Amino acid sequence: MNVMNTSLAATVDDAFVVKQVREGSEVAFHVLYKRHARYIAGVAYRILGNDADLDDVVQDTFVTAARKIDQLKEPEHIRLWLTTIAVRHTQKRLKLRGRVKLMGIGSGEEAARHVDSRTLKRLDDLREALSRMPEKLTTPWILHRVEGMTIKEAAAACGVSTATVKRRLSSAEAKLRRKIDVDG
Amino acid sequence: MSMDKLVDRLRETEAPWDDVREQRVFNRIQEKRRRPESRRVGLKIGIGVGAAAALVAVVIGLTSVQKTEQDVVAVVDDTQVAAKGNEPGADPGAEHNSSVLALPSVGQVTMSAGARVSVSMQVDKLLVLEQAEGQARYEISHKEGRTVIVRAVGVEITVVGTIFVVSIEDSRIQVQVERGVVRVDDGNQRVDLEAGEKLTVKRPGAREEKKDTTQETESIGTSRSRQSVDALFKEVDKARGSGDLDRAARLLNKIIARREGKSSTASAQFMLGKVERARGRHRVAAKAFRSCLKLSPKNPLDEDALAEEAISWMSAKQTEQAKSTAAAYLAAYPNGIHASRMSRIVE
Repeated sequence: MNVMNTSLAATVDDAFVVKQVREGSEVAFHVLYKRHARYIAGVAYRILGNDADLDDVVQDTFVTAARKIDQLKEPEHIRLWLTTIAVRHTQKRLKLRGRVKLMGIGSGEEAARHVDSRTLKRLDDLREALSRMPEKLTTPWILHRVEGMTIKEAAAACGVSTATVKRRLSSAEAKLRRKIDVDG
Repeated sequence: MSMDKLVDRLRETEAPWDDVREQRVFNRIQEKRRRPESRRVGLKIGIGVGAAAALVAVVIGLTSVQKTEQDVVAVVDDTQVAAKGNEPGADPGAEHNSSVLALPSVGQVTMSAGARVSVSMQVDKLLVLEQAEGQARYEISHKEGRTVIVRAVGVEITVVGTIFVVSIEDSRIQVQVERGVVRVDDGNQRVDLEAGEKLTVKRPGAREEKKDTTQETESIGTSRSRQSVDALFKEVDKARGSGDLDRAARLLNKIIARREGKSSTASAQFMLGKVERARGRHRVAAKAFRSCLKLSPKNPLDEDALAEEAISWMSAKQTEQAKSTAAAYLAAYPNGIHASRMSRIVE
């Protein structure tokens, strides 16, 4: 039965929401979106490196999710599944764009948070270095190091094996360390 | 500064994402999702307002109209007017004892005594009405891109543009369509109801003490002379899941023959292509994928259908057709997900 309503939304788990979406509940789909859109936007933004394609990626992610919700095997892990979809759409956008551009994101916010100038400089260096790396290295690195995904989860999101992700992470980390002046 | 600390800083970088943006993107998502859906239902219903009878408007048992994220769309019309006529399906006793929930630019809900209807959610082009009890007659005008859903004790009724009556009784919920089409979802299956059709479903939690009620509940599939397309698709899934490809193909051809909306027919053609390819009938599969494309250009399946067609031609050893289809794919989707495979076919 479709028993989803907005007041229920805060108390039910993702598996229940997914069940309702599968049963065609528009209210549940809205709940699902409200619950995960901000997170997905954050992941996409950090991979995309700027704001330009953010709306499109979030939109495409949820349109795909709505279309393929019946294929989701573990409803309780909907966020990981959505992230996987978002990463693929992000990769598509990046391929279209030709090159990752991370320069400049968040500088204003960081300045507003009184981040010291040395840290700001290093953050800019990091973004610059990320923007120059191939997307296949950047995406797993961001998913694992920044978003905190396990290697297995990052591999699933990128559609490659865990061995490949490990190799790419190691390569990305080495490249970044060479470019940025960091301790340790 | 260590790399870990730098990563922490990067993690703190938040997307410029606020509620307004979130809502705007949600509206776009709903637009995009609805496009094929509206084609599937294939309704072009013009609702005349002139025929709608004015009923005595006394606010009875109306729950509070909730103001949600945007402007309120529902207001209670408490102007008393004279009742005229008896609309089909309306409570005969409603003439002097009803209330009207006006939904500006959407329509109106006329409630019989004791009925309770409220606006549960209004998010731009999505309006969700909640009927808690009693009988209510909904007059909803059709507007492209707008979705109106009536939730009646666990049963969801998706409205395209129509006039219908929902009656909540002790053990059952009845939906009767006067004009247009509604989609009723009782959580187990969905049925599209057309004008003149009536559906009775068991009220969630109701005890199955009355034999008649149970029989009527079962009428979700039998009150109409044939199964809904959704029910057929479910059977297709079941047949495919159990490996009965012959049955899946038969069912898909049945859906296609019905021609109930371009989008559902296109989906059936696409699935038929998959089934036929699995049965080794590659030429038939290629034709099915092509039919899918012809039926519903700009469908989300387009990209896959074109690629599948090329692959099917290739499997059917129709190399020239495979190459030209793959080239068409690459022209349309140079960076598409099947681009590398299509390039190999062209080469």
